[in-house]
Amino acid sequence: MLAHTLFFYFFSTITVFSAIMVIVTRNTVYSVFFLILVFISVSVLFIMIGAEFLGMIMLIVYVGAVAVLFLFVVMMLNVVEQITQKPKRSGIINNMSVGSIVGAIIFLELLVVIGGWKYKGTFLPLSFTSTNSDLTNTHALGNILYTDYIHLFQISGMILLIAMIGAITLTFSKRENVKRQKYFDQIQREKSSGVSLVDVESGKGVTFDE
Amino acid sequence: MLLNFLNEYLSIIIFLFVALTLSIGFIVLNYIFSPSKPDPEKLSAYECGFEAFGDSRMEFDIRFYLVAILFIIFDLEIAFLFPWAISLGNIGALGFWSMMIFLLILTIGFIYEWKKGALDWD
Repeated sequence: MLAHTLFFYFFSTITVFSAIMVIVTRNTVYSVFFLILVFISVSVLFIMIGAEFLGMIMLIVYVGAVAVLFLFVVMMLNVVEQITQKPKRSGIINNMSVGSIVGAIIFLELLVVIGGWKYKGTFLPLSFTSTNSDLTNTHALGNILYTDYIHLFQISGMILLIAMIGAITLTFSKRENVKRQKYFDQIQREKSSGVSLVDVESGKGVTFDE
Repeated sequence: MLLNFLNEYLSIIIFLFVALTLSIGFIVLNYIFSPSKPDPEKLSAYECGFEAFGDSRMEFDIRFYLVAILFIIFDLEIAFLFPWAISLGNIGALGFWSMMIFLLILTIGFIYEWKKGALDWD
């Protein structure tokens, strides 16, 4: 149990430190790197409580795709590193007031959730899934996702389809003046239309009539 | 207990720590033992002896973003395929066909983007 506690404190310290560094650091690319570190340590924390599917999916999807998209946005917007700017006083007061209101709301929500879970655990009954602890997290998810929650599953498929079509509609523009191969025409070419045998007199060349 | 399977992850943690120690060790040793005398002339960009004409960044091509978004869509499809593959014995015909319908929906999107030419790089 001691190792478990040690690992938990180690990785949660890394999480909190990296989360603070995301907003403190001035270089935008460093900010995205610290965000990646947050994702990785949260993924390890998920694995430690037994949700290894969630941890792995966080690694694959969050780090492998979402953080990459963040980096692309940073590259696209060409954000210059703010080295010598001192933060303005009016800017701090505006941002801090809104920020502290949002932070207070989130903190109250956390209190409600954790307090409810600890002191009134039977208030919201868990659904009818059996908690058989021999199954791994992935196995347990797979048992119910495709049968009991089939409608949500299909809706998520539709959402992915819409995302695909939306991404292409928004960002794709056909390149002009690009020569492409027509594979079927190339394969269907016959010898009669492609090659012809010509008698050439010596000293005179061959002329093509296109 | 539920957490007995964590013993399997011990080797991964040891691997992670060895890798971290090695990489951080390299950087720290470099920082300690290397000479560091920065100079404005040494740090400025080299442009054939002249001062730099401007910022050397190129415009970001939107095609990279499209590739990344298409990757994440199919990555999520794979993420749905993992638990299905493990629990295929327990969910029967309904589970099988629901996944087939899901794959069909995403295949329609795939055909659309193939025909549109979004997969060609040029």
